[in-house]
Amino acid sequence: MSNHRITRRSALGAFGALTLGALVAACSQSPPAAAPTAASSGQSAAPASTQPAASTSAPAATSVPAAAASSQGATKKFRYLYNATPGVDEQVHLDLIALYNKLYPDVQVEKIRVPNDAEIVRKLLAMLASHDLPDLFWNRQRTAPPFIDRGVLLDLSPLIAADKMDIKDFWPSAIQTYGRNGKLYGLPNSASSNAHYYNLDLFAAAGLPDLKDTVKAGNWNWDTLRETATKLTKGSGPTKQFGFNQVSSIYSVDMYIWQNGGTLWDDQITTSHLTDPADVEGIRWLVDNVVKYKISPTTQDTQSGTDLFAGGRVAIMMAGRYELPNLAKLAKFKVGMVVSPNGPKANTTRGDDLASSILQDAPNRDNAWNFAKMWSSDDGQKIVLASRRSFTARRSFAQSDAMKQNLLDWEDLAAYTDGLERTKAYRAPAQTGEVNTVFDRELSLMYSGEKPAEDGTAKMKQDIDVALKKPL
Amino acid sequence: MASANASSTPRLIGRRSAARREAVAGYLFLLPNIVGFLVFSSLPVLATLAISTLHWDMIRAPTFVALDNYRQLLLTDQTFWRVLANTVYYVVGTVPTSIVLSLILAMALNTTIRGVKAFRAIYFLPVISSAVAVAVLWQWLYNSDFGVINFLLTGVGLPAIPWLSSTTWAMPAVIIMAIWKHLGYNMIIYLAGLQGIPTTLYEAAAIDGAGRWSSFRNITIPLLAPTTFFILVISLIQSFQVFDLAFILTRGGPGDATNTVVMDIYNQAFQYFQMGYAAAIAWVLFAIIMLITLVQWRGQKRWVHYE
Repeated sequence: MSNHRITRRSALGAFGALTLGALVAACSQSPPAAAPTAASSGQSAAPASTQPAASTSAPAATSVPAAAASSQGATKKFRYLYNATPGVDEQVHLDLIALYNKLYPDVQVEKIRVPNDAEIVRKLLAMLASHDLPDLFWNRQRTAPPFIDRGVLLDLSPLIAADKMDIKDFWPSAIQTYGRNGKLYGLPNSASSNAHYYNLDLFAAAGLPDLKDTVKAGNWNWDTLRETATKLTKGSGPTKQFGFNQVSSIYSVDMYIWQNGGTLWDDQITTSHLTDPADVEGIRWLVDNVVKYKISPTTQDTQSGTDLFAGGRVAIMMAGRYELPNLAKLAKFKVGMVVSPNGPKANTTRGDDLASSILQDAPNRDNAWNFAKMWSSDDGQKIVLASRRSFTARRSFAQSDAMKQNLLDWEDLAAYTDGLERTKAYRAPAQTGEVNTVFDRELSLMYSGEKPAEDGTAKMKQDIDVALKKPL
Repeated sequence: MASANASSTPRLIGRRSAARREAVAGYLFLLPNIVGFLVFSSLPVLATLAISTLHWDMIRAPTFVALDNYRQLLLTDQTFWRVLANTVYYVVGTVPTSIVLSLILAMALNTTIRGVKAFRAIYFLPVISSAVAVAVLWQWLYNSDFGVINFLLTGVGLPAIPWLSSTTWAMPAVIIMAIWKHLGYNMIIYLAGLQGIPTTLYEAAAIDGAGRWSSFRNITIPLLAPTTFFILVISLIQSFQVFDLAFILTRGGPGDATNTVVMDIYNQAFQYFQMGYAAAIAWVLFAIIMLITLVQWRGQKRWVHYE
């Protein structure tokens, strides 16, 4: 009988070997995802195109694709990554999945839900790193660039061409957001419309005319916005009433830069233009609202945890339909809305177009593409509208009865569509995270009065230029 | 003699067999914890060391850059030195104050007054409270317009402080909140230490004419030295890793005023997609903490005495 004693040394040796084995296993590449077969791949079924399929004349997916039959032979599932909090917020996704299950009963949808769009980026990174891919994810302007620029997403142009979809039916900003060099990396499915909402009760109490009259008179611009906001500002402390909301983040400040004739960066996105006089003045106008005129809340006011507009403390707010659930829950006043004011040099507005993006190596492309088409179709758009927090992604659907019936009595369809036609796409750099950090950091210092606009924008340019030059 | 050897051999084998069975049982009990430690702690830690030598965005194949991440971090990255300075400020602000206050609190609660257990539980509550809830609560307390703290300050004629919107005051605000949050933990450790000091020592000192201060200085402090050393080491390590409270309260702002090293790691990894660089920062932070811990370990021989 052998006399083997288990010593600490031998046990640790065994665990060490185990660790090493696990390390090797973890570091080894998993086999690539199975490529779709030629027969099942929509991409390979259509000729490659270098331009988005703009030339096709058929309307965008105006009806749910008659593709139930086409799913035969395809993989019987697909994985859908989206962000939502459980409850009302998630309902739109559950309804879309229910519709999809009705159309494609043989395809199983695996839901991968994360709570917010920042988390969707982290989840996607982890899934990419572990070669455990979703097929389709809910993409948006601010999350798209890093993935587009790193070649992770599938060019949908050949699929669009094969299905003879008219991409001109989508808002131009959406096509600009997801387009690169004639390719399209997201099929738009909803738009975050942009407008200015206002508290009519506060206007009446201040004896001010409805902003619609100002718009009609052709006087709706930065000057009248500030003038009106000043008249609406009163009080102090925790009950202070502000005329206009604080405009934070690069995704909203950009509008004031564009309207002042400026641009954020050069066409190649290698150098920022934030010290150009037009940019500095645009930002200074916003900073002055907070620091000099005190008609917009400070950062600390905005940190109080309540929605200041819905709570009745801010009279005018740059917003979109995403604000409707808050208003429905909190607002105890009459609401009005107009398109965003004209700037000194342009009447450009900002927006945030959302889209379905499919992973380049997605194992279930066909099923994912069917889901994307369904989402952008009339039936999918009805589900989007039912959430009462988004606007349709399609021009033609914006004029439909379904759209008109979905609007609240104070909502103005023309103001939404006018804004969306004027929307400029925010061209986010691939280094978007670092750029946003720098921008937000300096903007917060300007809003707190610790830095004048010249110094803040100079520091923004200095640090953002360094970030833009970093390799991907 | 031979028969004695013959009879002792089976007993020896039996003892060895029993010892072996005992060892196997012992290691089997340890196995779940050891496997968990190896897979979920050791392996990721070793992996980050390898990752720190890569340029890797988690999307495309990584490229080996040797020590480039470390070179860039230590020689050219101004943000890193800024957030390291912020972190040191936080450590210096929280650790000594927290130790002193928790000792005072522990001594105050090391009595037999009525309701003392309820008081101990109340002081421990922040420790087990959610960091998110605590930070949101303190956002309200710090509000410059209607926060309770400014209400009290202005009530006694002092000016209101822009706690969270000023680069000067934001870090003190985080430090105060962190001390409040962690005080209860250190207090419980000190309380255990205090209750381990034999009362006979105090009685003997009293007979010898020692006052309360003298007893505290010559009995309590020296006998609590091992406890203090433990709290010091643990608090320093935890403070260098500050993230959640500052992230929720200020998001690192205004400007970079409350940005910390771990927040920078988070940003580099998940906002900027620089996983290799983030891993390098993590290892530099590890080296700093290890160095400080070693210095403390060496230094403890001079002031920590075990019975």
